Amino acid sequence: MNKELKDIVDYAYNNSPFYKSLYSKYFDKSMTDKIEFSMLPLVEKKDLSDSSLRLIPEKWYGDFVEHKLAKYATSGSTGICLDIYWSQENLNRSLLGLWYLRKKYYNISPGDKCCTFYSNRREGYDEPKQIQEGNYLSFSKSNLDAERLYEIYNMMSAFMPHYLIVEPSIALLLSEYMKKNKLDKIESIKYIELTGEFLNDSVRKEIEECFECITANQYGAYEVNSIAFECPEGNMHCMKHNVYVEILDETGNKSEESIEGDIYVTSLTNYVMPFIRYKIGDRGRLYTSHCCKCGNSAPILKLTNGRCNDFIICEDGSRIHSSVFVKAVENTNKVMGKPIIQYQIHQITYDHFVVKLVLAYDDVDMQTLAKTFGRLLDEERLYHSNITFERYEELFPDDNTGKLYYFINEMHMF
Amino acid sequence: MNVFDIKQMIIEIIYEFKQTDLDITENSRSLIKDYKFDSLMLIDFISEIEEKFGILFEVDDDLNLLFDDINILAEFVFNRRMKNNE
Repeated sequence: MNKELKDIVDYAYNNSPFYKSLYSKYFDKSMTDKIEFSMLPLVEKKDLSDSSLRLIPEKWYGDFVEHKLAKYATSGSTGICLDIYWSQENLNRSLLGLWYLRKKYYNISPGDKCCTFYSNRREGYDEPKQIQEGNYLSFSKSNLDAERLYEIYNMMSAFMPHYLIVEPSIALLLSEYMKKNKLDKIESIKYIELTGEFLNDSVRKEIEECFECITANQYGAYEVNSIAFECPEGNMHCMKHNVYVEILDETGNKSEESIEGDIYVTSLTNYVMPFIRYKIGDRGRLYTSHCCKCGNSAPILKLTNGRCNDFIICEDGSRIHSSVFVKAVENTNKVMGKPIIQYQIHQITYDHFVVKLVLAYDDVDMQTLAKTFGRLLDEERLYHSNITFERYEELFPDDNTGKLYYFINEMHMF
Repeated sequence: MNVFDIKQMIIEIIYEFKQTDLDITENSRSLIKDYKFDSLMLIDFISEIEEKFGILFEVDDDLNLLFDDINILAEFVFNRRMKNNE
């Protein structure tokens, strides 16, 4: 294996309790020189669902306890809750390549004013509607009704961001609102980076028409940060100095060039929480033999069956971003000591939702959980909904796509 | 301009950015790990290097490798200048 991969594998085997335990079943640590990378065992989110902290090497325990590490919660794409930790140094290293390409391709600099949207900023209750930190103005994804969208539009216009980083569905909500109410485009916005969801052409077209600016697709995950970024030629190049990408078939073997398979990633930069041959939960195809005019020789990744955030549909026709449920789950976990390992929410009718849960403990009080969840659901239009909770031993991916979606709208209004 | 000269100029640029009194030694030569450059500083540093030395970084360059060791960066700049002059 190449030096970058060997470094992270050696480090993980010698320092991470999870990998020490996993790899020692297969080979002795003195053998890493002789082991092919493709022979290393695969890791899935469910392997870590009881505690992702087992990934962390002992040398980081001090920083962890003193809250010196950056923490992210990831659950919004697959319904499995994991806390992810990074050191600031590793973060800077991880994001350097992405910032460089943003500058090179689209003339976007870290110092430019930016607007983003977030699910969760504060633990438990009392989520702020927006936060301004330096050159970032960030809005909560909760309660994005017409009145709030108008408020956001005005605040954005006054702030004059140079660019946005946003999920396609949120950008679409904003675009549709602006179009419906004949609002002028925000002149200062020159670039929109679309991330967090599968981007289809029709959605991108709507957004570009409304904002009259360049858009670029960025694919990543909190576990490894940026995985692939779209060049001006429209190709998603893997961020090869940040992450190693593999496409594997259902038997765990490498798929042929351009054949669809499951995406596995290995972080080359997260030494606090190493992710090695980790199934990210999406599917795609990899093209290593190409001649992209942008000059980037990194493999091109084409996503298929990516993350798709359905909307919640209200009786009045308005739509709510399904991330409100992600937030409610994450906050419930924070308040109740992480009882929820996995979840999936189904919209059955306008005001009936079923929340399917896999729980960490046998003695979780479901009534308390239901009440806490309801209190933490930060979306007024759902306050009078009937939300029922069902407990499961395991939740299974969709038969057709192989993905476990965290939200499914069974009303099929789209 | 040889590699040593380039390295000295790079060190001067680092001091302009950080105004640190930390001695740049063999043991402390990473912009990210030792000099705590954040994303903004790194991107501005790239622009400064490009302008000062008349080179361009390319999308395939491993910036993490280059910025983890100013000796490697100095060699890289030297080689890129040579390539440009060919």
